[in-house]
Parts: sequence; C-alpha cells; structure tokens
Amino acid sequence: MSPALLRLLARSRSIDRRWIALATVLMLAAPLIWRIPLTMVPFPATVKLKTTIDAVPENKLIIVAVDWDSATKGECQPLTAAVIDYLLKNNKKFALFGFIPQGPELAQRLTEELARKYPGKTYGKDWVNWGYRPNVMNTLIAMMNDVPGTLKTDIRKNDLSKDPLTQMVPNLKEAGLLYHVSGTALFKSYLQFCAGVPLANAVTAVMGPEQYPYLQSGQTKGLLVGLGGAAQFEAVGDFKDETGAKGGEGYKGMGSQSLGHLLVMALIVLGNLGVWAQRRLDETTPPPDDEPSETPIDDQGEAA
Amino acid sequence: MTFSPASVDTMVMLVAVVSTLAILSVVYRENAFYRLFEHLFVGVATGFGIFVTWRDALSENFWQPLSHGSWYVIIPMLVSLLFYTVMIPKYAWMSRFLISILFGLGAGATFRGFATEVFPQVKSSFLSVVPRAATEAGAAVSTGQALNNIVFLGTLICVMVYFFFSFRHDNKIVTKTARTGRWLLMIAFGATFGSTVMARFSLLIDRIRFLLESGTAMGHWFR
Repeated sequence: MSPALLRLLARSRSIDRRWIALATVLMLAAPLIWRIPLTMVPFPATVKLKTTIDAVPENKLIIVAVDWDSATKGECQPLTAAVIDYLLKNNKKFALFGFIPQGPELAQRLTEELARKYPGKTYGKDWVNWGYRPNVMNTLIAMMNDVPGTLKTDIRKNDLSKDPLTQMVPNLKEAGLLYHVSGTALFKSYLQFCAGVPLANAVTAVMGPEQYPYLQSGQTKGLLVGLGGAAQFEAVGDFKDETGAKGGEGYKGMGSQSLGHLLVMALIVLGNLGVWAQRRLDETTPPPDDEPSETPIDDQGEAA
Repeated sequence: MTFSPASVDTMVMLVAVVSTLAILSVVYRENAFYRLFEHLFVGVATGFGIFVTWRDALSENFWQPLSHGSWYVIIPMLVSLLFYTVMIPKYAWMSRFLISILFGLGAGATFRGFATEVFPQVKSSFLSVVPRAATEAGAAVSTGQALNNIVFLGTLICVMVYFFFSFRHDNKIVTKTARTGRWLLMIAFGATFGSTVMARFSLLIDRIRFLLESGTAMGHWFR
C-alpha cells in the first residue's frame, strides 16, 4: 500500500469528535425523514409477553408500573406506549403507578393521547392512575395486603376504595399481570417483595442482557428490551400508525437505529485500520538521524 | 392577561426546543448556555419531585388526616424529625435510633429479597443435558434444548470457576476453565456494550424526532 494512502488511513485515528457527532445526527435523522421499510423479527420473549397479556381474564386488572422519567423517555416511552396501546385496543383494564415522580405523569399524558384513537375509552372506566408513591419496599409490602388502603387516592384525588377498577385488585396478588417499565434496577424490588404476582418487564437496552436470567427462570413472563423491543411488540401486536403504515413509535426509530449501528461499525473498522496503517508507517519509515534518543537529565533530576 | 391553550402549547414547545438545543450544544464544546440549562433541568426536576411527593404522599398521609383531627399522625412525623438531630452534635445520638431501625429493616428485607430473587434462578439452573420425552417429572427436552442446556451449564461452571478467588489457580484444568470463563464474560460485556450503543442512540433519536416534529409545527405557524 502506498505511503500516501497509509498516512490518510492513519489520520482516521484522530478524527475530530464533532465530525463524528454530525455524522451520527445525519445518519439518525435521515430515516426519520425518509422512512426505511423494515421487517421486525420478534424474539420469543416478546411473543411470550403478548401471549401473557392475551391470557389475562377480563375481570383482572393489569398494572403498568412506570418507573421512568424524562432521562430515559426515548426508550421507555415507546415501551410503555406499545403495551398501553395494545391494552386499549384489546379492552383490557389497567392501572398506572410508579416510584419515580415523573413516571405516572408522563404515562398519563401518553395514555390520554393513545386513548383518542379508540372512541369511548375514558379515565376511570378503562384505566386509573394511582400516581407516584415513595418508599418502594414498604409500599410494595403493604400493597401485597391491601391496595386501596395503601394508596388511598388516585392522581385526581378520587377515593380508591370506591374506584371500580381498583376494586378488581384488593391486593397485588389479585392482579392479572404487573408490567414494569424502567431504566432503573427497581424491577428487582418487585421480584423480591411481590412473590406470587405475575410479572413482566421492559427495560432500556443497556439493562437488557442482565434481565434474561429472570426470563429463563420464569420470574418474568415476558421481556421487551429497548427500542427494538417496542418495535417487536408493535410487530406482533399488528400495529398501524396514523398513515396506515406498519408499526408505531418503536418501528419509526428502528431505521435510525440500524443506520446508527452501521456507522458505529464503520467507525470501529476505520479506527482499527488507522492503527494498522500507523504501525506500518512506523515500521517502514526510518527514524531521523538527528533526533536525540533521550532527553538528558541533569544532576537535580530536571530535564536539561 | 390570559393565554389561549394553543399559544401555551406553542410556548411550551419553544422552551423544549431551546432546552434540547442547549443541552446538545455541549457536543460542540462546553459552554455557558449548556451549563445554564443543565442547572435549570436539575432545579425543575427537584422542584417537580417535591411537588409530587407533597401531592401524592405527604398531603394525603399526613396533612389531610391532621387537618381532619387525626392528631396522632404527628407522632411518626416528630419521630422522623429525629433524623435531623444529626446536624446538632450534642443531640446527634438521637438519630442513631432511627438509623439502627432502618438498618435492621434493610437487613431483614435484603435477606428475604435475596431468597425470592435468587432461589428460583438456582432451581432453574438444574437442566437436563440429555434429550427425553415428557414424563410426570417434567416436560420433554428436545435435542436442540439439550444442546442449549449444555452451553448454559458449561458457561455457568466456567464463569463460577473464574470467580473462585479463595485458592490459587495453579491447577491446569482450573486455569483453563477460568480462562474460558473470562472469555465468556467478555462476550457478555460485548453484548452489554452493543446494547448501550442502542440505548444511547434511542435517546438521541427521540430528541431528533422531537426537533423535526417541532420544526414542522413551527413551519406551519410561520406560514
């Protein structure tokens, strides 16, 4: 390979990070403007979640625990939206709840938006929002015995002991399913203190690999991982967006994800080629004769 | 002065667009605009947390019962205030009562939690490595599943051997098994790294989509 080409490749080791950032933004933005048709292949864990939701009887309430905030909204919102949309579409009743202050508020706004797609779906009849509660351990232990007595009121200050949806779950063990969405390790608390409650969960992609042992042991009845998990659920749930195209919020982001991953792979290859090229240049170019091999040090230990 | 809902929505969107651009500007370089919005974010999130904690927890569990004559709710509130004696050296010992109760509760809950979280996983790691038909004792195991189980058990043993630090790894079999365990861990870390890239991209995709949608909406307003 010619030295000029090697030098060019070697320069790839020091590309300004701002160029990389710009390339990333362009690669991620392009599929949002010009949609890339993608086929999602759902993982067995995604199919299992759908099967679990389908098997919940009509007289059982599904609890959607929304332990996320604006910091992980990019992933957790599509994961929440996919399941809530499916519950509304299939006439499943559900309650929103969370141990992170922003979670139930953001989920309420999202649910109101999704409910507009299905005429007749209203707050109090199809879903209830129990709001935020602090102190995970004590609240969960108390909810295992008495849900309305522990929570008392919903976000609109309605008495939960008179709420028809909350009456479907006198204690957590009576829940049809507890679906937990989070970018935190809070799911462990549910595993630890909600023995006997059917659990399923969705996590941000970074937490995905450590959730699989719970799936293998049957402690979680279904698992969605990151934006890809949301897109897969949209595929198995046969979602359509406002234009009639396949998928929803998760699907839209997956084109950008794919191009972004290609960019990362290309940059990794380029960086490695740069290191290889620099090594070749060092091997083939002799060091200049007049360059001192070592900086002389004087008696005081300082560089001369 | 009153604002129509549409103009409030417009203002909210503009604030969100400016905030997003301010936070993303750090990619170019650290700047005062970024730092201002970073502090704003922390402040707003804390303020919101305090408001929601009051509305959903303290108001209905403390203030409302107290204002309706349930004076006894003041007892746990006073006891919880003992935490703040930690700031007065002379009375700091009083806070230790609460801290010791919490330690005891935490230790008990952790023990119980460990049992309910980990024991099912220990149980589920007893897998058949031999294909078999369904019996009363258990479900059928196909050849594919048996192979999967062999990979699972091999990985489990290798990784566990890698984490045996209570003796020197000078036996050849132990050394090789531990080294295999280390390689398998590297594969797991690689999977986690790949997932991390996906997670970070998802957050950026959300913001880019928001900026594009806001841009389209604002384009309609100015037309």
